[in-house]
Amino acid sequence: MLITNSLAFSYGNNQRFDFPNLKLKPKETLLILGNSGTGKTTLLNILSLLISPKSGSLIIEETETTKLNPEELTNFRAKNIGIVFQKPYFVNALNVTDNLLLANYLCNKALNKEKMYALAKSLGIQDLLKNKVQELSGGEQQRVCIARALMNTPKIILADEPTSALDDDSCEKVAKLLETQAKAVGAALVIVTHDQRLKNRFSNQITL
Amino acid sequence: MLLKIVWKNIWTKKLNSLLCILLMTFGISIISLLINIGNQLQSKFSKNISGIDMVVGAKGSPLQLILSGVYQIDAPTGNIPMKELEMLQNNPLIKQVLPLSMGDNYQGFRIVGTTAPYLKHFSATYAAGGGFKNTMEVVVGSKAAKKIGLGVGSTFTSSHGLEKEGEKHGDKTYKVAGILKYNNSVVDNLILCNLESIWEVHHHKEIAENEEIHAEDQNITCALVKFRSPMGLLTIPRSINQNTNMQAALPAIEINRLFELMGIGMDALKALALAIMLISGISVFVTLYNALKERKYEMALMLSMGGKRIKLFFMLMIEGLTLSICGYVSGILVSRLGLWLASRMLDQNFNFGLEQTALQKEEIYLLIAALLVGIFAALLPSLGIYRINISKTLAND
Repeated sequence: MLITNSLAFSYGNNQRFDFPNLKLKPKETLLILGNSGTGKTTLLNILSLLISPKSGSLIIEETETTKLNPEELTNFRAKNIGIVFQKPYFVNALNVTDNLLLANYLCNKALNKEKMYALAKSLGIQDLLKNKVQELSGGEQQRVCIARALMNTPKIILADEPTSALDDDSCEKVAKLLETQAKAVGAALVIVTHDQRLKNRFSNQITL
Repeated sequence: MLLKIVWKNIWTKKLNSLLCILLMTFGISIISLLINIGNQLQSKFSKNISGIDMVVGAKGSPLQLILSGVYQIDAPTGNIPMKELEMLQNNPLIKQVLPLSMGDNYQGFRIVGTTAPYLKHFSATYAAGGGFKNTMEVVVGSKAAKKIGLGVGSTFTSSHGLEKEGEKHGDKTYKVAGILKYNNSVVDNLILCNLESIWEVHHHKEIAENEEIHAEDQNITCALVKFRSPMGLLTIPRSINQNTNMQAALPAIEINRLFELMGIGMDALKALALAIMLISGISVFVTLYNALKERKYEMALMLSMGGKRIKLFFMLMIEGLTLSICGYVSGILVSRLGLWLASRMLDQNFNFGLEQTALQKEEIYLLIAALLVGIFAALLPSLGIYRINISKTLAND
């Protein structure tokens, strides 16, 4: 599912990150911990194929992604990777429904409304579908982001500090949602965080 | 979906979009209005001028003579004796002389005394009735007939002068012998009769006032002259201007002069309108540029979700183009509305209507100009898509 081998990255010359090897099967969850400046986000960006590693291999779904060209990378990412960003980003002019369907559209898939309703229901946002995204609370926005990450049934879900802005209650809820939804679509889940609250919840951890 | 995003973005920024469209509308409508009015004036002026090589009348401004004699819009310069024309009629270089006598009106429409060939000259045809055969019979132009509500057999009395409020010639009544078909020329707005009718009306009036009028003292206002050969153009106007009390004016020259004078104003207005269009372009540019800054995250998000840069590039381009096309369409609509208003005003004041036209050739160029403004305004912001660094923009550490 996800196998990395001696991934390395450097910004300029003076800062070099060597990342531990990762191996993840479907429905497994991995927590990547570490303080600021340890390359957490860099690793997440590499895993989400937004930046290319300096060296090493990154195999997702039996595809060696370091060998793909930029266009193939974009398509591969859209199809196989669902990303939950630290901040809830949306296309602000569109309502919740369209923001969710946008995932299908940008991936060149048919717009799957049934899937959207099902996801919205399981994440408890079915009443918000017609709302503007700016009108939602932080927790609701986070749930819409999770739903969007799941729209294309990805093989891997990457979450960047998904809980850092949330209170304890919401943190617990979001973590649970991520875990159950990832299991439901059969995806591996990688969470990058420095949130101590998540440490107790997920046993499979790596500290950078 | 892409178009939906475009539409929603425009709709979310209603005021900004409205400003862009409004500026474009103003620019386009002013230019289009100028083009339309200019074209129509020119075609109307040149249609009425065709076949008239020279106008002979009392001394005064040559332009005034042309405007009053050919177009029936200005006041006449004065009177000339009918006798003087005979000299012209006998000149072998001259093909046709059409004498005109005016000075009266009925409800604002000029009553013009002339001869039958005048109607032939404008290839006027009858919608009802026939030509004026006897004195005090008139033929009415289609617009005049429609506005006043005259039909064959109606009778009326004229008023003195060219304004509605002139003194009435109460004692003599005209009778309508024929109504003309509309033919988009000056006769549409005229009431035509023979020269004798005009003389008769004034003769009686003047006799009433002073007794010393002679029957042979027959005046006309001016005459439209057609030459047999271009030779006439070289010699006759000059000899008239030098040797007689009359003046000869050449319509082609005077009208060119008129258009040159009007052209300066038109050009200034066109420059102003172009400046407005340019400002509209800048406003589209600023709107899109700001939008891109605000929407940098959105763009990066869409790119991370599999959106192609070229797709997003076109999305912004379409946004810019949509604004300029909306501006163009509403500009054309406003210009047609303006044309209608101007036509109504001109019709009321000068009995001179403008027509609603299909898209003019120049307006197609205008569309291209509007599209170019949209494209250039959207280009720089759209190219910004290619500079977005997805991971840096979204990580925002």
